[in-house]
Amino acid sequence: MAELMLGAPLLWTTVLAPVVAGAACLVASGRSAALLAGFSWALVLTSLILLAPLVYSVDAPAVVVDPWYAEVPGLGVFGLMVDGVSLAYAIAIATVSMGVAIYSYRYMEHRFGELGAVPRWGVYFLLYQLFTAGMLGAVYSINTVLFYLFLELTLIPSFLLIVLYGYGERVRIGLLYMVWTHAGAALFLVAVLIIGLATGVFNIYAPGVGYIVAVERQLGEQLAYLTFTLLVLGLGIKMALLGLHVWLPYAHAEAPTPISALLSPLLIGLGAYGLLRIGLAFYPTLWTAASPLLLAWALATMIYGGLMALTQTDIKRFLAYSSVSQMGYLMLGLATGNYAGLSGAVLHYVSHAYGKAALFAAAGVLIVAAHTRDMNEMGGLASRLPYTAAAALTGFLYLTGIPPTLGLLSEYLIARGLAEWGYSEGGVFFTASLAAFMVAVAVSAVYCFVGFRRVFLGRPGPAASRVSAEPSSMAGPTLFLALAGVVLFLFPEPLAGPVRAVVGAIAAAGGGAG
Amino acid sequence: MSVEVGGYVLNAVLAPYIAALLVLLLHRAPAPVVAWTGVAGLAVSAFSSVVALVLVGPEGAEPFTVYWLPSFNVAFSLRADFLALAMGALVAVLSLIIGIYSVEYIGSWGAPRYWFFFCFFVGSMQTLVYANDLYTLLVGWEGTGLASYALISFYHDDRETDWVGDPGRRALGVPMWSPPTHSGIRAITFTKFADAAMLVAIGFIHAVVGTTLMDVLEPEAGGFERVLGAAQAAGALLPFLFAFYVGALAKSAQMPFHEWLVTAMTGPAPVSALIHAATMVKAGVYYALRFTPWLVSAAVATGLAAQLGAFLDALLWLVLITAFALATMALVARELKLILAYSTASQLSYMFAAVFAASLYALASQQLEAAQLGVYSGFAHLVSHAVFKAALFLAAGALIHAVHSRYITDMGGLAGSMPLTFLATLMAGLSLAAVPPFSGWWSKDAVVYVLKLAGPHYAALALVTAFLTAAYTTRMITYVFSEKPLGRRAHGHEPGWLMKGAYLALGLASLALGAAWYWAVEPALAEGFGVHPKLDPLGLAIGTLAASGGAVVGASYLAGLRPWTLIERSAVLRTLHGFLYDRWYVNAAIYRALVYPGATLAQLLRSAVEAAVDRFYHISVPRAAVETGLAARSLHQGSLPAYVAYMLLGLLTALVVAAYAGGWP
Repeated sequence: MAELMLGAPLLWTTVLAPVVAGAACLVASGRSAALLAGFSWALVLTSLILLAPLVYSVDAPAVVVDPWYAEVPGLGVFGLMVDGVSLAYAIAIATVSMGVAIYSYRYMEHRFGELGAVPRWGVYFLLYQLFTAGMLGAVYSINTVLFYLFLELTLIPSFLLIVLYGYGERVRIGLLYMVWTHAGAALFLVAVLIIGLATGVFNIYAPGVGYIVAVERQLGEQLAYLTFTLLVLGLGIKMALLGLHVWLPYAHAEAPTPISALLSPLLIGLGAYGLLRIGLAFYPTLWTAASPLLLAWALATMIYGGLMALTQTDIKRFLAYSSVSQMGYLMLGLATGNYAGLSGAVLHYVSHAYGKAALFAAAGVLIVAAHTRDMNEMGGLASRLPYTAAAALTGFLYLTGIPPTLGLLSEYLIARGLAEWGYSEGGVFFTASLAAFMVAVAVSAVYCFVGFRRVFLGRPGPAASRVSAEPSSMAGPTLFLALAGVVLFLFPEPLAGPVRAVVGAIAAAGGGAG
Repeated sequence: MSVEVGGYVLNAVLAPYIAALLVLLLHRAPAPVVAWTGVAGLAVSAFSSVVALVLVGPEGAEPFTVYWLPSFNVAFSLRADFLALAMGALVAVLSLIIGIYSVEYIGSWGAPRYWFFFCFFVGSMQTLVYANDLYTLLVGWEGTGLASYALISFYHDDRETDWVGDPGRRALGVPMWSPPTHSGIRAITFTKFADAAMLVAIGFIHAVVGTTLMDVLEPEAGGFERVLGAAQAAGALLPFLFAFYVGALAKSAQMPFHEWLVTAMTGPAPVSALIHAATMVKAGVYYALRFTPWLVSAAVATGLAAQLGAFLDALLWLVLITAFALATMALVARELKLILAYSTASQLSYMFAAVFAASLYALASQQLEAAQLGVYSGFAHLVSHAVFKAALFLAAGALIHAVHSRYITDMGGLAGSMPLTFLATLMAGLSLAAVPPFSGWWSKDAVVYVLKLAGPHYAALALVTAFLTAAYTTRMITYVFSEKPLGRRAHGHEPGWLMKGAYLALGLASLALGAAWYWAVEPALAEGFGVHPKLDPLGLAIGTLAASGGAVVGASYLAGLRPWTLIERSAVLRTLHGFLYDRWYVNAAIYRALVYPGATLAQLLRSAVEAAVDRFYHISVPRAAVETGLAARSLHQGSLPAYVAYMLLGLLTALVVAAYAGGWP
């Protein structure tokens, strides 16, 4: 793919913009919170506007590289780039963080009140923006170690946000979150360091050279197996795949709700990003060999997460388990290894981002308006909170692949990837994966619509009587999040075209059909 | 497609969507404004689709294509062949009539929500009807799924008047009643489960032919030949065919998926009419009519005729059994709309049966054009069913509203107080019963004719069902209009003209269609599908006999011969009655075999597996770490001799290792 060197360090600017916004919030801590929220929002929006022209240059398709890159002795080239996949991730991260930032204002006011604390908006927004910056940086990184560093940058603020503003045993759960995801990141770091020391490869992309692929050939069999396993386990923890998922329901349920809306769809999906860029691109042969196993793991995660969600009574734990199930969808797309499945996985990251952010935001409205997280107390809330109900229903449509949301396209592409995979593996695999996929999709539909019913439909529960009015300053951003992916459903090509070009190149490097 | 035709087709598809959007924007406006906005969109769609049909006629026109997602060769593409144009016109006109009825029926409670999903429903259906691209088709297909979910659970406060089934009644311990929001979940889960397979099947086609455009799949282009060849080569022909059809069978409520449709009666009556006549369940049939002949010619070309034949034979049995089973359920049902719902699933089976049987015949006789005869018969029955079933549901809405009960046993003697409703129901009912000269008579005989081509036993089974159909229809009409009510006294009153005008028009239409069938309808359809249907006097005679026999049995209720009371008295018949009344225990079986075990499994996984994993990671591992630490601490008690001993031990170990590494001994 063609490389396009930017004339100015726009990518670094997009990463730094939230940091500057956050720092400014801290300095201006005394001012009104609304102003701060607006300011943060404006700067994240700036990041997004800076991205916009890139859409067109990427459409070529090209890899856009930031001019500020440098060789770090012994650790390859550090720098930033954006291509179709990074762009899809970045758009989701920027728009969701933006929507949630506005939403935060009213929610955190409520939370500060509950905690009986003096509102410290500066601290909150600084941490919030650092978190966003870390995620943006991670998806722009051209270097495995830099990717790790940005992941760690997300970890510290998100840990502090949980500890400072979370619910329940927030210190213990913050630590639990920290230990788990740090362990995941550490496994990842060990793997990339071994790869780097053995082969000298630290880059996903090297300016002037292109994508670095098929590193497994230089590694030797044993080291390849070892590092591959470490990578999959490390990023599997980040992604909360079945067996490595137990931390997620705690962290995502007890985090302050705006942070759940960032953690759940945005951060954990970065695990899938790492698997695509490093797991798949570096190990095409090994990935293909492992694909039946990975696929089974993905389907099991989808079904298990869905069944767990069905048994929850706490709405935030319910949504957290739903995220586990959704990460199964991403993994399923990745496991197929063909360009359709990979594109489906990347697009499903975006679908899930809007859907789950809208759902967590809706849960936050319930917490503020109905003072409960217990779904047994809910029911019949649709007539009292109509906009929130509409946003939540739309959110569920993303998870179940129903139009008019981007979920249909991403689910379709994952299904197409699965069909292609089954075709190349033969009849037994085709049939078995088809059956499991049907069960997984049905389980998703069941927990989504049963969950929606328990909260919003049927006879009013005790919580309904506590709702006096719908907080429009929260319902508005919630609806914005829910509708963002509708626009992308109607006009998917600017998003999906570049994604397809990049994953096509990655799949082709592995000998698959590009 | 010429610009002109393309414009009309595009209007037909987009107008309802635009109306839906306007309804959303106007959601704070007074209910009549919202309602008429919706109706206006439906009217534009109806007008445009009829004009497109008239302009293009049987020859068809080139598709209209906009590349939606060029990087995947996915397009928003609309086609204008006869099947699409005729279906689109039918859908839009019926939706408009049902929409006009709804203006009066729905009133103001939930109006914006109703009209948004109503228009979205029609737009989605039009999208899938005119689709010339499999992804476009999916957009419409899944859109109808969403709209049906929302409208089936329209009364989301679960008011008891809008439940389906007898509250408290259980079969094998499984509740046999369903509140609206529960029915909605059933509808979307049943269809989504099957749609997952359809996604994979379409993905498979997309992967093999490289595009989702349907042009490529037509026999001249040979796309399906490559698809079938690839599926066969992968050893996945049967699973592929299953995946390709199961979505259609679920959408069109064939066994065991009929379960979602029967509980879908919790929606408002016009929604039932819409689902049954125009927008939802016809989608599966339409899909089968569209693709089956293409698959047939591809199978013959690739030498897979035997395999496809075996598969279609299995499907044919499935749909014929569905037709029979649902007709028997309708014989004993007590809820008016439920009888009509059973009847829909049963009649849809006829449409499927026509195309499957004709395809079987085509495969066996290698006469490919015979498959088209199935399309003709299936579509003919689709048209007459759409008209009479819409009339029946709309009239049922007025009846239920008038007597405040959904049970036919609470009605009775309403012919006097609701004469126009009676007239409309009678005309539509006779069409359903396939009594001459109503349109149902013509179209059902056309179906039986192609069934006979495939084998006389298929036709015989269909005729038995036709007999039952006439019986339950007459029973229903008798109960509602002429019998004395069993329970409390019913007082009927006619609704306003928006409502009764709608179903009266449809009732008259099923008579008019029947009257004009031989001279106008049949030739037009035959020309459109390029077939030459033959009139089969013997078949017609037997069909008529079956229908009138059934009607007589049904009418015996008139004479007070109520098998009802008979069944209550006899133990054997009571068992049979229970079996039919509880829907052949299919619902109970699904819950016992899948739903409850699934819920138990989820709870078990939660309490056993999840809890154990949680304990392991969050209690056992940290505790082990702490205890190891404590154990290690006991070694460090500050005793100098112990430290010296450790040091010596360490030194020794280092020496041994070094020596070993150095190659000694």
